[in-house]
Amino acid sequence: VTTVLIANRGEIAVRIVAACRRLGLSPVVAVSTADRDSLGARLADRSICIGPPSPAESYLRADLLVQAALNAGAGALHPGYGFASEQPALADACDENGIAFVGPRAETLRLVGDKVSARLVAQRAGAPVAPGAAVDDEAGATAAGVGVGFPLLVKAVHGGGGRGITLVSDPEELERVLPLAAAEARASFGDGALYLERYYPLARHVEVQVFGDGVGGAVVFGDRDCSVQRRHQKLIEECPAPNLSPATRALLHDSACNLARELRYRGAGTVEFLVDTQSVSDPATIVFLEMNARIQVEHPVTEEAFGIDLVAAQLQLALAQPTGLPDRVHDPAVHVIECRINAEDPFAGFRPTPGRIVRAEFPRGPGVRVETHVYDGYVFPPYYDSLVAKIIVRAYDRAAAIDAMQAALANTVIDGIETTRALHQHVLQKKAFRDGGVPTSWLETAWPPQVAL
Amino acid sequence: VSADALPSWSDLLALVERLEHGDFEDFVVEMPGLTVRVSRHGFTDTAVAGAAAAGAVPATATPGAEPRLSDSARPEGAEITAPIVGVFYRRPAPDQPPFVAVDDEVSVGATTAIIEVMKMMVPVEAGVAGRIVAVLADDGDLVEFGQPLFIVDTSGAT
Repeated sequence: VTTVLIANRGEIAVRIVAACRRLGLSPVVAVSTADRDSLGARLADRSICIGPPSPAESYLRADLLVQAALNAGAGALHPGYGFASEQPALADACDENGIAFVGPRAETLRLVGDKVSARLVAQRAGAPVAPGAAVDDEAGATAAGVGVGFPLLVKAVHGGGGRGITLVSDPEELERVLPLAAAEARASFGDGALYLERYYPLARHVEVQVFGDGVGGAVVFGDRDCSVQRRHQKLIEECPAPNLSPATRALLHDSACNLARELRYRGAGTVEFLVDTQSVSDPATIVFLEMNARIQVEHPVTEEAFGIDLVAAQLQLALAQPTGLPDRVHDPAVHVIECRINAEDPFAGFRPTPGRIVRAEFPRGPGVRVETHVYDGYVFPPYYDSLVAKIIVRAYDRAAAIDAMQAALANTVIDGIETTRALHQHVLQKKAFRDGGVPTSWLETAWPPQVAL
Repeated sequence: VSADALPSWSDLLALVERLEHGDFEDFVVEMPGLTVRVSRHGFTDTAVAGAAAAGAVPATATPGAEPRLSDSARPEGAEITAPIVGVFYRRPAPDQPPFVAVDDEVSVGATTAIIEVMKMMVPVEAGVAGRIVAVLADDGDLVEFGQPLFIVDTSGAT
């Protein structure tokens, strides 16, 4: 029996255990001291403590994760999402130690993990990218800005994590901002190099699920709309993305598929795009954002729509077994929505709310799926992300799915800590959401609610 | 077991009185549904200590003074735990003696073992000074972060 080291925690650790059970593999989960009693650790065949709670001393350490895999005698390592999942060093260390890394090759992680090279490879694959220009000197910047179009973003080439980005709406403002942005980039990132990129203020976030065979073949499993976001944090995802023209959807799917083929992509990946809601053309203006070279939080939405097990397919591919995925993919005849219940207080600026969950009740019934690692009495730790549970519902169309989600949320009880449940209930009854196709900036107009709930 | 089958308190007191002049440090009487433990120097076990504090057991119980009976295989003392997940080695090289053995004295910061993690050697340093009274892992063992490796008797340390 092949052992799989699960190099992650929380609900995704539980999810990977389930995939291992489906395939008859033996799951061993790496845990920090904060997760010794976690549901993932309980459900796995074994847990191995790799360090203290701080992710920098445990879940982010490729060396400790691979050592745990060696201790476990694992034949494969599944990195989940976040943490070390897209670290090329983890994939390299797995290779060096004869452990199958359940993810793309390290070279792919390097290529898509860097903004500049990711954009280049997307262009090479024929995927539309946002108009952009490097700023060599401030004198030429205005002309470059006019070429890119306004509004635009001034980005530090070597910036990251949302820092070093300035929004500029016209040429005069660009001239004023450039020297300051260059100085800030030099101070913060040791290099004043700047990049101009077109900004789409009313864009939707639509992403495409791909699965590559690692030798140049790739299959698209539809798309997901993840536009209900707060500060780039997705809260609601659905499949298929509503209100896209057939031409726009085809452009998204083809662009993603071509990129995956160009990369000879291995396993499950997501190609993220912006869809400009102000675009009047058909297909609409879409631009490549980035490729997420891992399984994503919202993968169950696609699984429910297409009747597939993406995590099991990842494991099978890594172990050189048939993936169990269909050769021919049909448009889903259903609509699927996911709401992320987070340990945050939406009435208090989304303050994190770790603490003891005294009671956890989840909805049941046809088309209802819950992915969670919490249980009655679980102490939600303060060290990690705030995801408590993903509630996923499937129905025959979008309106029915929204109604089903309302019912599912009404039957979700998390006592002991505040959660984002009320936000979801509020959003799901808003006309703009029910109509479908809101832009990523919409939620900030809908929450906090204008009238007290 | 019905309540009638259990000995009365006076039965127990008579038993304690009869044994008190014997050469016993402590004793345990087990009957179906009832266990009585009596010690001249006390147990660390909180249940017994609590019972003693309530005056239910006529013993000179001073909690924490003696090792627990059930833990007799593992001496009392401070633990030295694994600072990292990896492979445990007691000696610097296969042909050399171990860093420390039972009865050795260690000082704070002394290397007691090494753990190999991804071809890197991480020393296991003593966090306390004292005498090694137990070694809990073998050469080549796969150890986890926080796993107890040594027990140190710190009572003689100055």
